[in-house]
Amino acid sequence: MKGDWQTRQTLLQRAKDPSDESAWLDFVSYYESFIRMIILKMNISASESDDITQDVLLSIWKNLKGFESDSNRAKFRTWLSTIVRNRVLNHIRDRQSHHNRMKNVKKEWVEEGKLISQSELEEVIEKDWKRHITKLALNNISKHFSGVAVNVFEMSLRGVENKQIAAELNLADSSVRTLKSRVQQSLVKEVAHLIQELEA
Amino acid sequence: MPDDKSMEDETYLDSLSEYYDFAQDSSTHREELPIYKKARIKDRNYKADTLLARGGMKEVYKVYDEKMGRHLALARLQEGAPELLYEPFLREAALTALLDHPNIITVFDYGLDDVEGPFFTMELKTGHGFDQLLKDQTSEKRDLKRLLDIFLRICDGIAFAHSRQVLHLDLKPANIQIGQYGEVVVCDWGLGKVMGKSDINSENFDQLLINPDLLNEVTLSGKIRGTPGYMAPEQILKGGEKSKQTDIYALGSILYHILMGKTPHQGSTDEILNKTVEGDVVIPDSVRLSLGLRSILLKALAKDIEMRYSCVEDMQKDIENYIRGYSTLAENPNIFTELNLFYRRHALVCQMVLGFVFIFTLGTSLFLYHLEQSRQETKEAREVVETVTEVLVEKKQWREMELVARSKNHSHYQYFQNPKKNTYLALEVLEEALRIKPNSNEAKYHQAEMFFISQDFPRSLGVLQDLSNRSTMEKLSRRFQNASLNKEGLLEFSLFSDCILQLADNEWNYFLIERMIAYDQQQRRESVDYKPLVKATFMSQIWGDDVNFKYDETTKSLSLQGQGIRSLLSHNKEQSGESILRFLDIVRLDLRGSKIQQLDELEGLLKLRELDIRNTSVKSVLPLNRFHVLNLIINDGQFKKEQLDELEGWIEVSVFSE
Repeated sequence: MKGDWQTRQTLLQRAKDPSDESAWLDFVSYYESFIRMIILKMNISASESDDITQDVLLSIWKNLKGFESDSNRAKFRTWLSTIVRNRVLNHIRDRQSHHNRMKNVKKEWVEEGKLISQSELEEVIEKDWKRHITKLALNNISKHFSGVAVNVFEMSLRGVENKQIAAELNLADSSVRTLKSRVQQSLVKEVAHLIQELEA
Repeated sequence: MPDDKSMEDETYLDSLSEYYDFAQDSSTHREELPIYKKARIKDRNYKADTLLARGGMKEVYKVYDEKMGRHLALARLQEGAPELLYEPFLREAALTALLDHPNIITVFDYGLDDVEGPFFTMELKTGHGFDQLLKDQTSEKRDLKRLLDIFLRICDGIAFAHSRQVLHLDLKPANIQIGQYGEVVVCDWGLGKVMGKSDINSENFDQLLINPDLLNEVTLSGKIRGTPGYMAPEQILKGGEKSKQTDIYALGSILYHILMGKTPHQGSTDEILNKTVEGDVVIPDSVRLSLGLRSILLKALAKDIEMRYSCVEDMQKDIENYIRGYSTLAENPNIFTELNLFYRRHALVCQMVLGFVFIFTLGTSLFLYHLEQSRQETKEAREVVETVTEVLVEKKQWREMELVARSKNHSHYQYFQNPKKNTYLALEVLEEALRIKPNSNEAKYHQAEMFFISQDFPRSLGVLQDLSNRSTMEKLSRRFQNASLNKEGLLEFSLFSDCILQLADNEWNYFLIERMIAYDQQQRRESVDYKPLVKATFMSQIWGDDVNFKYDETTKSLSLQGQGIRSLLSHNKEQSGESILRFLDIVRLDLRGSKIQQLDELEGLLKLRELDIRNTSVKSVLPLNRFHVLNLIINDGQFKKEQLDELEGWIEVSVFSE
């Protein structure tokens, strides 16, 4: 119970402690689906991507302690993309040696040479991570809002104009603006919170 | 349009992820982040905006619980509070944790932190205090019904606490939170006490409270725990024994406040205290207050503990009785009061009964029975409309939508329990919806449907024409608008059959037909044959030709064979959930060779005794235990022995080898 409600460490920091199993499980819950999605984007089949995802997580777990974050936010993602790319490369090599032993199997997977480059991968990860985190944050804060508020906000994301939103949801123009800005403010806070927790 | 869709998703995600950069830029304002708020609590340095309330030595913050991902209220002692206060402070949490009730604030967790001392977390209620609500309710536009309703729910909470031997001892409007959605929650159990237990610390605690402004808003000379104006005489007097009646006194004061717009005693704090101790509350005769309420107040606020209500439930019952127009326990009712009230409650009925004495002499009591029944129905309908109207006060558009939704309870979900009554109730509610929003097409459409189902064709036609609706329903309404109806208000059966058969041409009319047959069957006195109608309706739900539907009236056997039969229910989303076959009195059902899978679908076939499921896709026979099938016919090896062993003893299984 002591100090339970007031820890100052971020999730990433706590996950470094090999004895803090719950922190690690939380960490996995945030990252696992993201890592799998990235691997799938690298043209790896669904069944293989499961193995590689686990492989990546294991590798993160082993190396997290050595990872030092500083003010440079992008650093964790660079680090992550290196791990992902290396694990995928390893996997392809394993597969190829296996393939060489069993000549008759058809080749239909990605060749090592065709694998996405490190810098491209970083870009993909950067973009998808932003989407991942903002989606997660929107999901988290949705609970605190009425369905209408979230609806308004999502419509505005799809580029619907305020006037049209108001007409469609039968709201006053001013309440569309209020609802939207409430969700926006809360979303920014929540995203900032997740960034703090997961990247620092 | 898959491309448009994914394009749209891309825009959506791109705009959404812009908030990432936004957040990164703004994260320099870290004090706004929940995690920093917490950190700041540790640093004993927080932003004022995280503080929700401060009372005496107690502070309440809004915090974010990461594990559960929700916001909570966290209470702790102010910085520098003496350790002696830890125990009584935590007692509030422990006490409240005993009380798991919807009208009592929920405590999630409490504990001791080595830096900050004790804390506990509670649900975070968004809403406002009852005191605020009372302030807003000026005498001109006071919603007494709502206030009394809230009051009854406060009573619910306190009655529950008393049943757990817990006293609140500081009841007042400010300690009652009204949530955003009307929830009523009693908070601040800081002065509460477990009955019959002498608190080890209570001596200390009382001593501590000599310091003004300590735990709660007790600002007095010291010996006092509670809030002047709401507290009972025994809380002011030295050595006064606190009991359930202490809370009842406070409830009485709250009720007084609700009814009179102020607390029972007015003046400076000392004056209030003196008046409280001195005696009974007086309600001037000039005040317009019914005898019932007047007596409830006087009984709850009696100076003498024995004269007050013996339990909260009694007081509650009196208020409920008042609301419904019965005499209250506090009134000491005599026979005249009772008769007077009885007459007032049932004025209409009394007059009617007198009138009908005359009819009695004509020898028929049947009318009365019908009268009473329709009165009941009207009353129920009126009650439904009244509650609906009261609950949805604010926005017209929501009200109308709510009413339409409410009407669906009758026209859809509960319809089959009593088709006639629910038709009537649905129409009542829809009429109210249309009164609020006369051009609601949805309400009109439902109304047309209900008219049509009850075979009131001229009216359904009227509404449908108004909607410029050209459905089969409209055509049929036009056709039957001048048809003569029988005593029960129904079409001649051959015409009714025509009507159903035409509707059954369209598979989407299923739910309409289902309700029409149910209505007709409930009302029609002559015995008629629904078989062709049931068959046509059933077949309308089947895709494919390979179906054989044979019903033998004498043996009540239905044989349903063919690969086309996959289910006994409709594939329509709107349906009763029971098979349309229930309108036939099937005793034997032969499903051999059909594709039926779920025996749950036999629900409603009340007379079914024999069932043949050879060569079907049925996976489990267990649902049969709920029905009254006596004889089950299956193939050898179709089910495992363990599966059959689970069948109830009354089901005899006949096994045939293929």
